[in-house]
Amino acid sequence: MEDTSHSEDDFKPTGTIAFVILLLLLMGLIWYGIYYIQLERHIK
Amino acid sequence: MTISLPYKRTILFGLFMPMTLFILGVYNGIMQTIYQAGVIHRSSVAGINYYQGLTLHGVINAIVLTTFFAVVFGHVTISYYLKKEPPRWSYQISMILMVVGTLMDAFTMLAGTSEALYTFYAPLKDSPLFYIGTALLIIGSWVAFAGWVKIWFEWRKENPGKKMPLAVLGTFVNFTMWFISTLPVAYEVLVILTPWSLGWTDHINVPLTRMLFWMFGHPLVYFWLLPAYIAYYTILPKVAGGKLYSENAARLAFLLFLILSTPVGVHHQFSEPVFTPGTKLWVSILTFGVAIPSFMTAFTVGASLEYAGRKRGARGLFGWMGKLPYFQKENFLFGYFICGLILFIFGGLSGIVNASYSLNQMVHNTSWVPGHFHMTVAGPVLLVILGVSLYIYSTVSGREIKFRTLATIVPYLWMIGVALLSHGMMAGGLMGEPRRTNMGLTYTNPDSELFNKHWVPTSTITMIGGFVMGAAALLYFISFFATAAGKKTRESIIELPEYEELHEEKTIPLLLNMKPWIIVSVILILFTYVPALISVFKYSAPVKNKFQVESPVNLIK
Amino acid sequence: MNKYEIRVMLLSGLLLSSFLFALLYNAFSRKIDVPACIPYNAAFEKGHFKQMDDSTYEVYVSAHMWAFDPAEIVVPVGSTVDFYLTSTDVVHGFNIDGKAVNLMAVPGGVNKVTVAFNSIGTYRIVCHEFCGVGHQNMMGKVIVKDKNDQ
Repeated sequence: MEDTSHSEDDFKPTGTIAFVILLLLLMGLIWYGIYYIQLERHIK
Repeated sequence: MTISLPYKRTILFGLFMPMTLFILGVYNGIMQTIYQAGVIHRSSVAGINYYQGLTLHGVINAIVLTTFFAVVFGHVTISYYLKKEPPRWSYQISMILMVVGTLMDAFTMLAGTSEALYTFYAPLKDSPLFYIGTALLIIGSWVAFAGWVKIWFEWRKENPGKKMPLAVLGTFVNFTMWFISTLPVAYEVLVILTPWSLGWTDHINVPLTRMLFWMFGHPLVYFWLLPAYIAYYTILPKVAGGKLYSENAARLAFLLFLILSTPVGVHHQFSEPVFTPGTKLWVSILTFGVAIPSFMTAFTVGASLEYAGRKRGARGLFGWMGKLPYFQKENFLFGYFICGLILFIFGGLSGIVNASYSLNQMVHNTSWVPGHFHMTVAGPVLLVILGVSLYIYSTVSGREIKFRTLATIVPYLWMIGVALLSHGMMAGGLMGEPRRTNMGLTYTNPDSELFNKHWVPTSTITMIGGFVMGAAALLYFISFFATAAGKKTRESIIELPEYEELHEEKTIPLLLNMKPWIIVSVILILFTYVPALISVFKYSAPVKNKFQVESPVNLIK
Repeated sequence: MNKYEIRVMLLSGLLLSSFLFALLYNAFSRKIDVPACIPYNAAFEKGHFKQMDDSTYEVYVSAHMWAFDPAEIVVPVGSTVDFYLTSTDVVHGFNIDGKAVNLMAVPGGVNKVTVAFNSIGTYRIVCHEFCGVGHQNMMGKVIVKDKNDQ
């Protein structure tokens, strides 16, 4: 039988931490991508 | 918890009526995509013209369906957690006002006398019935809230020292924010627009009406979103087989929405005259602030799901994502929740682009904007509405869910549809494709001088997405209405899947008291909107304008 | 408060701050900004085109149902144009395709933006705010010509 109380205290959401980091990277990619396009259109 | 007959009838009607109107809302949505792709080059189909259809689509889907659900889900949530029914006068008067208001709106939209879209921007004129009907719908929702507040105070007296249940906090935050922010639009609609529409006044300050509308228009989207967040925090951990990672974080997220939802309305007005760059920069900063509780939610919900996956034996960094209850007929709610979350990744990120001050110029009023909001309001918001409505209808009416397999597939199919729809719209938007436009007549019509070939493939992908969404909606309607028409086989109850907390957390008193947050909310609104109001009067002037959608001739001589 | 939750708030706050700095840099160094506020005056409702010197122009655009006035704006390449925008009837949009110019024409208010046109070509001006049944017909043009091409 799994000792749930022990594992609950130890639970570190490593996968979610990785997911949020990737999410923020994706955000940066999208945002700076559009920022770059705006710059191009401004100079054109 | 058992349920009295009048309360049961109110809840069931409050789900059934908007879902019936939603059929009309979906039909008009699909038609939009067909017109826009240039498959037809017409101004109207089957007696409904393009812009009339767009008005029906926006008002039914984004104002009627969402407000009714917020109220009905609020009834069920409050009653489940406080184990009380609200006073009968509150839920009956509320439902009557909301239904009468909706019928007024529906009548005038179908009659063609109100086609100024769901934002009803002056000086385009709608019928006074529309303005009053919308006000009644909103006031009806206030009355429901009043009933919950009453039983909350009773519960608190009977349960001294017990903290406000998380789902109750979420509901109260949502409706407090809603009440504060609907005051400006109620003023706009009843004090400015109705007399003007009736011809009692001639002058109208258009920038003022827009400021008042958007004071409401942004918190409106959180009014839609917060019921979904309540479901994600309090229902999803249970149906996923996990536990809520941090209740304190959930409380903090809700309270942050309370203070940051309303002062940001001007971020819908970056490209307008009259508001200063200072105001616009300030609201951009506040909007970045209101993105933070959503990032917190992503983490808290993710961690709760990760716990569920690892409990099932998942290994590695992302293995838990695979070990979740997808496609399970007996647990159909999970699919609605997870598909909404996946869509919200892109919906939320694109929203941050919209909020970014001068960067907004890249996307304002292009089809990027509906691309964004179909991944939010037609993503987590609508999917939670569909899934939870089916669940509540079944438990409250005591009827078995029919066509469970169809109901289970719906969110996945819907998600694919929205992904296609939004992709087409966002790609087109970055190429300048306009929103709210019957492109089939000109921009996607090869015989027109204005033809723009770049917008054809993008609007075509959008149309295909629209068809897939329509198919998913059809499957949902089959399940929902068959369930509603079925025979009662069980007792009628108020029931919700209820989460457990993963950790026992230290109590943080600031998170258990709404009062300081309400005060900060009002201060931020005044700090933002008093200067904005001053600039409205400094830079603008009233005009003597009033126009029907059909004619460029001013109705005021 | 859970320590990972706090880190998520800080990390996302940091990324959003970087966006803010990028926007401020644009506004102050590159003059990429939101439109300027001009006090309303009925004189702006009359569309006209003014040449200030060899490479500077002022265009007063009046939007109405369902066209822009002036509907066609011709300037030589390398010029800078100040656009002033208002509406004589309902709210309209003003989006110059391919340039980062995106404005609303609001009756009773005046918008202003300064744009440099450094490439030859035709730029469509699309109305992107619903303004009545003729909305999809409402389009203007900026034609940027070679300096020697008159």
